[in-house]
Amino acid sequence: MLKLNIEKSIGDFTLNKEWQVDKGEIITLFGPSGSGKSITIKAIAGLITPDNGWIELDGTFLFHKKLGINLPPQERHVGYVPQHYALFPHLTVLANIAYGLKTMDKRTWKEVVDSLLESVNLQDKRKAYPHQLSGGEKQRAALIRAMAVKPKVLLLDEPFSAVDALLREKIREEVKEFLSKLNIPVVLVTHDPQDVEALGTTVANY
Amino acid sequence: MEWFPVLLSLKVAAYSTLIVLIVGIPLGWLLARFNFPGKTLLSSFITLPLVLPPTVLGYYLLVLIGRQSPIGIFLQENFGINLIFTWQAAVIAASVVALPLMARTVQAGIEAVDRDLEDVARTLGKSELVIFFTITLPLAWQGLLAGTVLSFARAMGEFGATLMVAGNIPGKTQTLSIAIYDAVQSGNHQLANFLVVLISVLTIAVLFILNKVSQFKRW
Repeated sequence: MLKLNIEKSIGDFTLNKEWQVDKGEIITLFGPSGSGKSITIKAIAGLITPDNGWIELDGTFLFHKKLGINLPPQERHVGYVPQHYALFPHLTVLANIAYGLKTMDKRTWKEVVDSLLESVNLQDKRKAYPHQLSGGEKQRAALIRAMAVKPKVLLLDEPFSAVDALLREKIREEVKEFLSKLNIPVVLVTHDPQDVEALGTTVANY
Repeated sequence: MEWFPVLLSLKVAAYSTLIVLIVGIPLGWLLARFNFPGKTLLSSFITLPLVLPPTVLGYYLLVLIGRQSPIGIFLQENFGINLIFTWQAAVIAASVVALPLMARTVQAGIEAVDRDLEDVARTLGKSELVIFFTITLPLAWQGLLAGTVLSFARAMGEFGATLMVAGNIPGKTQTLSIAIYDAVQSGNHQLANFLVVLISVLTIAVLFILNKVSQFKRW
């Protein structure tokens, strides 16, 4: 369960939001650009500090202004997939996905990475570099890289904006299926009403 | 022909490039990615050697590390070291003039790296230092390379500040640039021509290689 109540001012704009999402559920943050959707996601990940409020994940506070709690992103156990996936361009698909796992012994992380690659049909691309992947493949690689470290919540920022319209429907289905198997809360940001309709999830209006 | 000045300049440039790499990379990172009070001041201070006349820099260095300075007295009394009019002083002078070139190009290289990549690495549990060495620095390699070549070239050609602190002692502190000046002053045009052609060819070769390498993409 992810619950939050946060306030953040940037210039003249003030964001003030309260919502919650349960395990195995998806919440879609929907609204025009500049309405604070990405700020919310970054606040959950610990990449931006809210001015006020609290963020609670599975019963522990990630952030609580009044209690003086503010965990660094490294300790929050969130999976974060930014708008253009942010795959590390100088690393292979394999190295990208293993990046967060390198503290395990080699055999364990190889097994974990192999099963993740197979789960999204990317086993033939393990030695490819991100620029050699299609839009959908990049998407899947970024998703399993985030899931590799077993996060307690998954954050997706505009997951379909980087793919062209023809492919969007197909990729939306792929992602929807991928997300339906996860037993953690998922937060998905979009400005596209069609995404909201196709995914059919709880919506928080921004 | 007299090869000593060429070899000395190469030695001075190699040492000062190494120093400037060690100091310039953290400085570039600091300026590109961190906010702290006095940042603008530090930024201006680093650029200073780029705009100040080299003789002025040399004078500052004389005041700072000379025999009468606290540092000079300390080194003399504890280690019996006197820096002035040694090749090590030439290394210090070359490092000071080359530092802005390294720090600035590294800064620009790091600023060009997408911050989302670093953010993702943070959520994957990596410390800032690990992220710097595995993501930021490898992706800023072009800036690093440009900074290294520019610093080396600048150190090779250093004249004004070097003359002030290292002097012009043939066979001891006479670097390439100073040897050219000396040759022209004493009417030895044959030597001056040789040294000038040598440094020109060397510089063009280095710039050519830099251009080739920076077009090369690994991924």
